[in-house]
Amino acid sequence: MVTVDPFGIYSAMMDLCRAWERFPWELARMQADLMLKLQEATTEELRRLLTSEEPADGGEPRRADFFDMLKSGAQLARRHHSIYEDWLRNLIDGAPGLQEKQRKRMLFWTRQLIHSISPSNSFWTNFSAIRRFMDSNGESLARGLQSFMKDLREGHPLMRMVDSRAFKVGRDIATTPGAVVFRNNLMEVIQYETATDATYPVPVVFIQPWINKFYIFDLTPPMSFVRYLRQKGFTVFIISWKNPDAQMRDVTFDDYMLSGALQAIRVAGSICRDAPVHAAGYCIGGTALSALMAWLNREPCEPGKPFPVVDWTLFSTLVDFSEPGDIGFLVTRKSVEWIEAMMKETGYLSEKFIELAFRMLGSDSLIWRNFMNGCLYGLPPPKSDLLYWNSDSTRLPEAMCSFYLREFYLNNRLVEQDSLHLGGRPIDLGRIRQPLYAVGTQIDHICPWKSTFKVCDKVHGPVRYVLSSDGHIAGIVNPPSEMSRRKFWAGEAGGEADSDRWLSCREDKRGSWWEDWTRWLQARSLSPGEPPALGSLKYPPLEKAPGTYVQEP
Amino acid sequence: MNEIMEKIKEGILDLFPEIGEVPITAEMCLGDIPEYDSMAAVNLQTFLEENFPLKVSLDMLAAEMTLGELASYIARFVKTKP
Repeated sequence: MVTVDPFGIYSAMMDLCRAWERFPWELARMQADLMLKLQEATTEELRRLLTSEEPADGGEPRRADFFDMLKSGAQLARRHHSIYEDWLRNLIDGAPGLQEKQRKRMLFWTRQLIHSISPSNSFWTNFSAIRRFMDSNGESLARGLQSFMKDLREGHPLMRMVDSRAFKVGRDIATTPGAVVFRNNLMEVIQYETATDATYPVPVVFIQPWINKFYIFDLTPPMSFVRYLRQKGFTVFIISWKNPDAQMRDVTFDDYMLSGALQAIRVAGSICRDAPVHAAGYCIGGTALSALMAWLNREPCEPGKPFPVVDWTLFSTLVDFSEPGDIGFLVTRKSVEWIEAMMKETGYLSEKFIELAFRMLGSDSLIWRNFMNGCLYGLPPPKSDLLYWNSDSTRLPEAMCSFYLREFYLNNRLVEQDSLHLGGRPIDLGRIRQPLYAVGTQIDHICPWKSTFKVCDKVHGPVRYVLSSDGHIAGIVNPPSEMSRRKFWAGEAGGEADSDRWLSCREDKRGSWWEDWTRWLQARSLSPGEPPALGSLKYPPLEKAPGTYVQEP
Repeated sequence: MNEIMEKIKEGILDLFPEIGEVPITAEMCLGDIPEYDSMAAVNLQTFLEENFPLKVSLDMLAAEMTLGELASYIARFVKTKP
């Protein structure tokens, strides 16, 4: 049954009211304080407007004109907004006895409200919008409103974030030469051409997230992770997932793990002369890889065959979902029921819904600043490969999505020993013995780094953890460059449970962690030798990279 | 150099009006801009590309970059243009 209040906003608000009910005098004092601050700001702003009439250098006094008044009005609106923002935050932070989870929930939803009513989002209280309007004889706003209406008609009520004509997959991005060497109804495996005379015998296999397309690791050449690794002497394979439709409604998480990740590892190993691989998973791809590593370690290898994965890497991946960050406020028991009811109709979770959820996690930038630039300033959307990828959303199959939200986000069963059964085997992360390299990013709304750190004491192999500056995408897609101002912290973390203690013992290093990871991979890559062919007799090249699935809408 | 700095300041006020009364100086870090993130960096990158003859890479526009350092970098590039 679909419920009202799927995100628990009303219940959190009622808890907040109840928390203050017993302290009416303290609440009244806070309200009086708010009034006082608003009054002070108003008086100061009026005084500033009036003193602007006084001559600065003994010249003729001038009267404040309409422009000055608008500027002053915008300034006052901003100050009032900031005072209200601080007041609301204090009201929630200081609510006596409010349960911590409800406090965080209220802070999240209040932040959404605060961002939405920012004076920058309204023409008359955004002085830059007014100035642009005057300078362009109204053209800027007219242009902005036209774009807004066009986007609305074309199904983008939050306005497009990127100039979608600036890039084309296979032409400007995802251009690294290679071939599709395997295809099933779930994925294509792409093998990239090697770029060096000799390559390491152990290939790298990227298990990409199936939320958005695979080419986040093969953007424009300077940003391409795949190109970087080829130049370092690696043979690289990557999974390009099929964008699911209603026919794929019964596809499960097990399918992604076995017919996806495991199959890709087998294909890569077979083409590279039966070598074990470096397996690396990103976000949900990393969660699938973690489950697969536990699955593989559950039973002994086939006689005479090595374990198929020599080491594994997780990029911004949660295995412990107990504190999933802001996304936890969108995934509640009631909202999952609501999502499941929607999926019953369609067979999948719509890409629009996923896009909206991600944009809400960074609403200040991803919704409101985008609206300000596009509508109020009339600016064209930026030409950015990163944002192009971000807007190329995908759907999720009903069965897999429902399982993922319930068993990972709501029940957090991946970290419970033998609680989850996938592919016919109980899953126990503690059985994993292979070396792990895990990367978290400092400003991550989707996988908070302290939660990604929790993998360190769940597995039993050696762990090297790296914290990168920046967010879920920019912290990972992080090519080395001389001018880079990014930084990272790295060190051993096996068995460590306290992320703060770990960080306090590390020194920051300037640049990209990619070089650190390359050295870590090289240690288990054997000596470089003759590069493998593109495909093999068993897995012949089927089509040039980037293949077919990535082009499907 | 001063002209470059003024242009950058103008752009920051325009792109991030929520900066309010935070003083925009050469010592100010990009991370001092409220809610500065990679999307904000993309907006700033687009502004710089439109106003100066270069593309500043995103990894330069990290939170720790100061406006003074950014202006010096742009000045070096502008000087080398024919």
